[in-house]
Amino acid sequence: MEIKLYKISDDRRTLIKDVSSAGNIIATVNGTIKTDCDILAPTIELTYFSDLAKCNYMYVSDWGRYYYINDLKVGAQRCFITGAVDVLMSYATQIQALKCIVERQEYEHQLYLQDKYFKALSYKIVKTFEWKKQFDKNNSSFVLTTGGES
Amino acid sequence: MPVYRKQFAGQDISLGKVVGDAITYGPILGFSSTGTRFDAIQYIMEQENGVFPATNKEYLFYIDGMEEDGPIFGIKVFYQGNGKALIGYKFRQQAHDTVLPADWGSWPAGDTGYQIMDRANNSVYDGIDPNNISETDRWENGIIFWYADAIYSAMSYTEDELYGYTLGANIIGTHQIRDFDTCAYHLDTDQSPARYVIDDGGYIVVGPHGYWNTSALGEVNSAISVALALKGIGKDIDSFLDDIGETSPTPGGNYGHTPDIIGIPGLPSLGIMDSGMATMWAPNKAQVKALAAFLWSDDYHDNVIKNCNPIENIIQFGVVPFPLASITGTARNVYVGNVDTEVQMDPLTQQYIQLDFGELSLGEEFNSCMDYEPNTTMLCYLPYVGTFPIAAYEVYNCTLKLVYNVDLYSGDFTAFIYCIKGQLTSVLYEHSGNLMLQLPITGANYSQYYKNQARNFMGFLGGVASGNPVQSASALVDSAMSQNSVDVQRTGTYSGASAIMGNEKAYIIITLPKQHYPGEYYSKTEGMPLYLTRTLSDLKGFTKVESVIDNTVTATDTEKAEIERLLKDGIILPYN
Repeated sequence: MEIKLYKISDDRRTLIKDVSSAGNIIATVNGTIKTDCDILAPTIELTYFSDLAKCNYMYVSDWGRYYYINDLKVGAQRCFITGAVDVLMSYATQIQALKCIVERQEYEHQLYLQDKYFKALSYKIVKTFEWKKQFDKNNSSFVLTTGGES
Repeated sequence: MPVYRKQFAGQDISLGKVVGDAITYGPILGFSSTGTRFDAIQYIMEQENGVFPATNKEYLFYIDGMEEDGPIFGIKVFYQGNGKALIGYKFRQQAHDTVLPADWGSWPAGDTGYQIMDRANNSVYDGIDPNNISETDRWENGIIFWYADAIYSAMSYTEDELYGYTLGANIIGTHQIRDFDTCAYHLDTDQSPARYVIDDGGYIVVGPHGYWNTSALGEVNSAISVALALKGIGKDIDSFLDDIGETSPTPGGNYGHTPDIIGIPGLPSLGIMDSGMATMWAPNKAQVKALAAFLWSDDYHDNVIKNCNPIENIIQFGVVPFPLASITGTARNVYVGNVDTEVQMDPLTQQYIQLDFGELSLGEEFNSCMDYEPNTTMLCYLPYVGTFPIAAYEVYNCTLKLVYNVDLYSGDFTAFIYCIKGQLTSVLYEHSGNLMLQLPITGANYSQYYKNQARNFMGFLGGVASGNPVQSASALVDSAMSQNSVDVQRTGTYSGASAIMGNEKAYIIITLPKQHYPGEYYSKTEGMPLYLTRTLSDLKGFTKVESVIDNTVTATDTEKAEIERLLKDGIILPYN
């Protein structure tokens, strides 16, 4: 089966990895499965080639899935790579169509929600703001009350 | 009821009202963060990080909580090449008894059902450099497509009746659709918005028509908005929807109840002077000394023998920290008892006076939860009262009026803090105390002075109580500290004598957190709180999901579980 091999530097959390830049594409090779394996964590036998050691990512077209290359065993003629499925890249289009309750977001947010990640230093800032009009002791007045009407 | 709110440029847009028009509209579903005007080009530039798209592109707007009903408004860029583009606006009216199909995939051609604002020789947006876009160009050069779907109406209106409600007199051109009962198609090649009648007299105003209008109707004409105006009914948008059978309330409250206004009370209408039992005066220093000279003169001694003890007719004497010239009458002789002192003083014309200390308005520091409790705490200091806690949400973005109603006979007062914020116009805080420095004249009434001192302790707690005038010191301390997060008692108790030496200005003490922020990349690694329903394709960048509404990914169960786990840990969606 056809295996496309890549060298990527994307964060694992990235939904869509860069598999189109020329520098990231290493080779397209044929591989085989010698023993029963989990399609989500397959071991694939390849013919060794010098740039194989650069690869950290692959796509198996027969299975329609992308994989991180977790393990590479090299022999005299043959080598074996073990992969772990990258569900994000494999199902990126469908994932983007999902409707979710989004807890946190980089661009869209409601800052008036209490956020446990907000940090504050131990000391505080104190400010005072006054009403501009005030009592005026310099213009005080006597008040006298006498009995009866004068 | 659904909350008609949409975030735009990071700010919520909530219901508002049209201003500057002779007819009052009901709530408006607006899309502008600066009022009722929506600037589509500004929005596009913000979405595209300052680079106008050189491709066809569509931007859709939804009502929060009603995303499954499809978008209610859209902007479409029709790129023409060579730096030219057309901008179309797509607007949807919502049928009340049907779930709208979210079919925004096609923009039907032709005139039927669409309003095209085609300004001859000026209909193409020329250039994509935002710095070259004038205010006029933003509006006049946009071509507007209307697509109004199924405005529901149970009543039949004639064309004249319908157009009779239409603002302006610019309904011209060929009106291709006549069935105004059930649809909202309207072809108008000019600028005025039209109203579509729905149900029991309510109608929807749809605008603008792309024409920058600076007249009194400009607010309506220049805004892409929907107004549910309940003519003659006086209902709010949510009550109206209740009446026409909206059956799917949305949690969150509709805030539809108009609050009552709790105003500052007026002054009492009756006082001691109305009884004829006393007269109140506002003497100056010289007049007081003249009276004192009379009281301690030989003539006084004679009068005691012949008449009575006139000094017993001086009921009270004190000092207040403000001028009284505005409430004094013509000077006349003062009588104590039946004895003419031959000392002239200005009589007071009223016992009560209202002192207005004006307004205080404060804006937020952080524009976030950090502005409010428990992060930020506030105290208010009032002269002759002391400090007490005040809620930050009752201070920020409020207009706070401070008024003292004072009894000049006793020196007692009640201070009111009146808050104006949105629909709230109400007295929120009342505190009482005494602001008069009592000046005892004889040994007998010096003991009364001490009683007043004790009474003034009660004033600090917000009112003079009858009965035992003295409260325990521990009770006072507990009251002052109970709501202060840092347990600081900023003032002690106040009385007329000590308070007159205190601060004469009212002020608010704000204790702010010193926020520690890791910089611009914080939102890229942790995101910021959102807690709203979104389709992931509408978002970009770091996104952390609380729950997936319906995981329809065609993957194995193990993979689906892994997808949800990763979504809840946070993923990075494409930036473009």
